Amino acid sequence: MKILNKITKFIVLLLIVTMQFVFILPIPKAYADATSPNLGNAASFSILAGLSTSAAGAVTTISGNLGLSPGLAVSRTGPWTMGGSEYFGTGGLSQNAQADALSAFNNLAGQSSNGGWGTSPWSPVPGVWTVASDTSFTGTVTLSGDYDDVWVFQVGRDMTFSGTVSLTGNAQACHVFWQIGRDTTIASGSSFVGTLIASRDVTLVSGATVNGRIISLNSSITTDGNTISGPSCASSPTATPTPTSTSDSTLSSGSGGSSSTNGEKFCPMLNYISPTIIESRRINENSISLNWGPYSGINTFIVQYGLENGKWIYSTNVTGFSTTLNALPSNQPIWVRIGVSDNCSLGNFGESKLIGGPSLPNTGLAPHQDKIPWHIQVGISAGILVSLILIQRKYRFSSKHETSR
Amino acid sequence: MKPHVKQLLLKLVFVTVSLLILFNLNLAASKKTTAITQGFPIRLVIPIINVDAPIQQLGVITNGEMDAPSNAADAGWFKLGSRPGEKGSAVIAGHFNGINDEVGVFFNLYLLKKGDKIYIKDDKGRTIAFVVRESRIYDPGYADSVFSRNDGTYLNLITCDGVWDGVKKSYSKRLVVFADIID
Repeated sequence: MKILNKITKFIVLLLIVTMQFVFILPIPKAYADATSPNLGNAASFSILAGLSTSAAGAVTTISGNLGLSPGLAVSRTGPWTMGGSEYFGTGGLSQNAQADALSAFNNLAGQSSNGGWGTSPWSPVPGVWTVASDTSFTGTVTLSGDYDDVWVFQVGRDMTFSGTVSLTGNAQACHVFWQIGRDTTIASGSSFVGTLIASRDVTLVSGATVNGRIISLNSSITTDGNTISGPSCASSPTATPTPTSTSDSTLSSGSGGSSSTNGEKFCPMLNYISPTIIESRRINENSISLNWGPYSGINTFIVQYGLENGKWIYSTNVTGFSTTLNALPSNQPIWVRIGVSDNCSLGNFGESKLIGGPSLPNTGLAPHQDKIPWHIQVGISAGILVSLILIQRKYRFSSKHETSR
Repeated sequence: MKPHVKQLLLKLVFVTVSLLILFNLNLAASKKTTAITQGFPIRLVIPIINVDAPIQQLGVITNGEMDAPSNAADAGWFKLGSRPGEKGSAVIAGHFNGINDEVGVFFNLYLLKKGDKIYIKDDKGRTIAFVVRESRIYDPGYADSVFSRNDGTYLNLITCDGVWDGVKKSYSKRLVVFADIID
């Protein structure tokens, strides 16, 4: 009996210990963990944009690759210094990188929020921090954490950042992500950290530095004497640091504003009918008008055009179903394609078309009115000769007739 | 025949047949996925009006006109547009007459009528056939409908027509013959 009791006690003790491991040791967190998305091919790019990227004025220095897709090489302008290579167009690394960046963007957008953004000086703990509408942050964000801690910042619309992102402790730039629903501006002199993926334009104002990556899914990236390096990712120690209960169980009290995400920040793929150019007309040597259709529930479009089919040097956003393209290269026909755009996402482009064709050619030469063909000349000469002979004969006949009288 | 030899022979037949099937499948697949890209047009043939002419490549001149061939005997393809056989409107121009009043390559273009055949030979050795749909007379100037239509595969031939205008140094009209690809 004693032995049985001992066995029972041992089993109960074993159960208690097991329960400790199962239920107690992994202390439930008060918020969902932020996780790093898989960047795939996008990871090697310091600059990755959809349509174009430019370095205005001063040289912009990047440590990794530069890519455009579907944009082509002609759409990368300005002075650049690159640690990596350049990739353009479709069917290559930049297109794959864009696809992976879109997956990462959607992953970031889908992570559950832990709260709204704070104000400077702001020290958010690792997690997902959200603001649904346009936001402008000025000041310092301090990210303090360990090697594997992740910060995700979600912005539903436009973001303007002016200031510094500071890493302390063992926090790493490679674990900081910014998901921006529309446009981004990083102000002059700012020191920014992390991988930023915006749906539309990103502008780095002069002197701003980035420890990370800048990605525009659908539009353009403008730089001006900036440095984009890293993102730094210090090698983790071999033993995983043990998290402390305090850092796991509480949230920063410095957060404020909107507490949850909403649908505005998602930019799903658009599924409308691809526009077809119906009619085009050259107005003058520098302007061409065109219209398109059909209406399939949306009336905002992006019109891309260039001198060669597939090289889309220019683009413009249009509301409605017609536009006039001005300031074009003189008298040059242009290739155009049109896609549906809702200021957030881009649908499929319709077929490209050559418009503004040239005037019809002048394929005739002046008829030689002063030059009489030889057969006509011979005919005329023969006619004159016959006439002269006849006149001479008539004269002789008249003379003889008068003499005989 | 010994049983093990029979078995070996059967295996050999099986492997051979399998390999043949796989090879054929691959061949069919590769045929399906081969993309046909059009070559550059190098020769224009219109049997009904005795045209068999080399094709030059032409762009746009400064006044916005499509350039014209450098001599009366050649035709000229508008290289900024579609290639013959490619979706869109391929455009070829030819002179009506020459500098010494000789007959131009398109002197008899006006004789073409619906159903006449036009052939383009490209630099890849292919011949692309078109059939005349209609002819139209245009005033000189822009004519997007000649260059821009892209709902099919077309070939449009252009030459001069009308009367000579000594001031403008141009004939008063343009003749355009529209042709559709023969599939």
